[in-house]
Amino acid sequence: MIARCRSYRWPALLWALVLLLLVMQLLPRLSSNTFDTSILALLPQDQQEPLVERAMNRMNSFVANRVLLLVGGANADRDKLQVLADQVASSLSDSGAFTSVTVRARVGWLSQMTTVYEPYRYQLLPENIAEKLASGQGLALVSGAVRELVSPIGRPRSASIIDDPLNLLGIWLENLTPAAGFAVDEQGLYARDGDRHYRVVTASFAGDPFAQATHKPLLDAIQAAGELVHENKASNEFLRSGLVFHAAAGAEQAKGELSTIGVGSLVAIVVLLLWQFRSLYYLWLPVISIGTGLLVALSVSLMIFGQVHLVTLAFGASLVGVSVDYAFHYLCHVRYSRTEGIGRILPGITLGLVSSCLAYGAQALTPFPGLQQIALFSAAGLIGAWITVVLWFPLARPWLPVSETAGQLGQWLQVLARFRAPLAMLLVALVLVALAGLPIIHFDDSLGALQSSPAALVAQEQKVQRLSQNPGSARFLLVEGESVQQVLEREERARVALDRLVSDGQLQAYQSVSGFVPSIQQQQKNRQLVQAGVYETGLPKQLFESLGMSARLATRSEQQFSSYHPGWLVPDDLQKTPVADLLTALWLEPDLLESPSASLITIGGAANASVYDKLAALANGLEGVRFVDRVGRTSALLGGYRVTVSLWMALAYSLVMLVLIMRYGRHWWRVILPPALATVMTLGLLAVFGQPLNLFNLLAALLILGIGLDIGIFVRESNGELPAWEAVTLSAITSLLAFGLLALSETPVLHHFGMTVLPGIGLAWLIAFVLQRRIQS
Amino acid sequence: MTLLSLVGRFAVVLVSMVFIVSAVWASEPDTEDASALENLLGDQASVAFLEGKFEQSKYIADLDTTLDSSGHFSFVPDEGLRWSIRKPVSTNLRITPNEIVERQDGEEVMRMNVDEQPMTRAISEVFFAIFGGDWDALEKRFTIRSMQEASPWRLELEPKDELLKSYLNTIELQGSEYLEVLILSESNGDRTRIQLNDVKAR
Repeated sequence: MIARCRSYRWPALLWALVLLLLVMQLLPRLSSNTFDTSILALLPQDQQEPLVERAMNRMNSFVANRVLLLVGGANADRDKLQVLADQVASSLSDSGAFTSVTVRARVGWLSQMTTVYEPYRYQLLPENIAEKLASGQGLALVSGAVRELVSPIGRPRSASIIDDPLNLLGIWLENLTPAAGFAVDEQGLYARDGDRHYRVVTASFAGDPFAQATHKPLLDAIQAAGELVHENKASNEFLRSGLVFHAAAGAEQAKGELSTIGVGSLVAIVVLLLWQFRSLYYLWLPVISIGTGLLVALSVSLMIFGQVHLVTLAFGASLVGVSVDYAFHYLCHVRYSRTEGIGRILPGITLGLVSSCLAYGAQALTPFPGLQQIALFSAAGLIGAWITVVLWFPLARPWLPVSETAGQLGQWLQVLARFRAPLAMLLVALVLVALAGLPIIHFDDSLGALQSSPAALVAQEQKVQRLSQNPGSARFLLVEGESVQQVLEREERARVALDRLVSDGQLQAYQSVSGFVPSIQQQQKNRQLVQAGVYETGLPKQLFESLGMSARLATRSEQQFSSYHPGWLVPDDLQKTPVADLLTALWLEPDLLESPSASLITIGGAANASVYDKLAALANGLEGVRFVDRVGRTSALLGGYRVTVSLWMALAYSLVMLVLIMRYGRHWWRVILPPALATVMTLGLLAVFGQPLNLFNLLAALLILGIGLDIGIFVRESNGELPAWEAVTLSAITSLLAFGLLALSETPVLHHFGMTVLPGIGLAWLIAFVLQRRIQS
Repeated sequence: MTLLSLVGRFAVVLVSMVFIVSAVWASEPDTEDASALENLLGDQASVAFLEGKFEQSKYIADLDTTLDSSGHFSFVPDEGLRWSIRKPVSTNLRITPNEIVERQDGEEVMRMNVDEQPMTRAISEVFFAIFGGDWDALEKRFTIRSMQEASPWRLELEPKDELLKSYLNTIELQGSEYLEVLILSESNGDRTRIQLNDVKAR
């Protein structure tokens, strides 16, 4: 026995060295940026066209580093709210968490716009004015101009009365909406909702909105500002909008639950082991095997991926339930005998490892980055734990007390074995219920089903989006063309339909580049309209006549028009104006590989979901225009990958089946039946309870395969001996407890996972138990 | 000038009305700037009705010509101000704390929520500040100088606000027994002179 011990020593020492090296390379990698919390990182890269990808990145960057805060109160307290908004802004700015904070309007923005537009006054017409001129209603413009001149509150003149007698430029400027749903007063942006008044504060920050390092200072600053609002009597509403709030809430939730699941799982194991083995030594060994497993998993994952997603880590925590199988198997075995025991159980735990690695390995082949991480993390963790059990556990053998009688669990199992018939009947009943569920299985791949932000935050976001007429970055029109002008022309064609939707009240608003810079084609059309509808019909003459002014002025005005050809307004002309940022955001510069130019038309709130169908149909009918629906797109991707994962799972089962046939011949089905039937039953039962299925339920099914196989293999390898049953029962119970907590998770991904694994493992154990003829002690 | 001048125009009307009203009840003008204004404005609490005629001549700098218009006005605190232009065209304006409505030939040609325009609201505030006796609001928006204390007195108001300043240079007020003349100098060189006649109050 001493000689055998020595033979284990060198490999054991080597393993210790390897682990030490892993720790050394792991430590410097650990920082707050090690863990990724973005749900998007779990999704595959969009394999669709790169232009769409770029457009979506643009929209992301548009929302990623900005927050929008609304300080709301009664309309009557408007001035107080404005002062408060100033205080909020300076508090945010003093905190140092933001790179810029804006609350005041840019003084003189309109006069800057006027200076740029003034030369092109004959070429800029809002849609309604163009219609009037085209349909010969120009006279209405004359009486309007007269009123404006004599009334003390007429529309301001943007150009001289000779240059622009009908004040077309003034009308053009008045129709611009650079702030979408927000209005501007002398103090800055605001929104109004019935008798409520909201002051708008915008702020931007540097850094990754999903990085936890970004969250803390930012949330602290917002909280301090929120307290200012809270203490102020004038205000009773502080609305916030921004990707970072959702990211922070998601990370907070995931972190909190991670510790619940981790701690819960650990406590469950400790209690179980003490109950079963009544020895602290037995307790330390599983902890060591789990610990080394997690260490290997984390360091290998970080080595390969650089960053690990929190969800990967959550599933890593669930590894506790799987890798502890090997430790249990060893401990339950040695408890009854004086041998070192590893030789007896080695085939079982090795086959368990191989089959689990095959099952998880299949996930690594899917294109989901998150799945690949999970596959690698779990495989590495299992291998690490397996090596620890094989190399280290025999060394600890001398300290493990031996007992001749069955442990608590063994006694329970023997009692339970007497009730095999009722248990079998229960199983049959469950099978029948599950079978009834199979035909009514339905899938819900919508991203909304995975939305985990707190309801209050979502409500705030929706309110801000309604007030700002800007529903976020989820849906937009993408317009591409061979040249800048072609893009603008195509935008204008799309806008005809968009204008109709807006006037029908189906669409709140939209923003487009051509709304600020019409295409040259449109400018030519406008100039022809002005020529035919204003000058050739003698409108200036009528204007000056009704004002009692000299007809010579009209002649001067006409001469001015016909001799004035300023060229055409192009997007670059607006580069130095206050709308430059807006236009830059909507414009995709050409890049070498792609279509030369493209632009985005952002869409305001829609009256109902059917509007999106109309937009999609509209885009289909227009060349170079596409409707990008990121929500729909992501759901479609989730659905696509759900199908992919089903296929990979079939592959995993086939691979495992081959291995089992090689090992067990015609008895292979006894081993694979527990996980396979349990999976089918679980899906059926979920359907019976009205739960729609998605990708994450199927991922959980892979885990059922891994754990269920361990049950089947260990029992089969040991010929149904009591220690093996104790081991698989212990691991099933710990897994149930660990995953039971996952089912309680508010993070939908984890919840779906837990809800599937919970019945799945229970059933797998029950099936194996019912299949077993007797338990040998 | 667009929005700014639009606002400016509102300012003109509203501010001018402020002083029309104020001048009617004005006692001897005081020389002490803000307090001069306060004395001039007096106690407005009992205004029930005010009416008169106006003649406006607007010098348009880029035409180097003057555009004349005339009409009558009335003011009732609860209903707002009616500004009725009769020449050269006939058009009616009604200005209330919330909105401005313009009608021509019985047809509504414009309705504007005061809230939608940046400075309009500020000015309407000034307007109602006068009636509420809130002098601080006026001082907040204008630097007030007394140009001539003896009758006919003259006051000059200069906007403090950047937005208003970029449109409006000064407002000059003249009167003896009550406010008679308003002169608005815009920064683009245009100048509007409004002469008030036959002002009656109840």
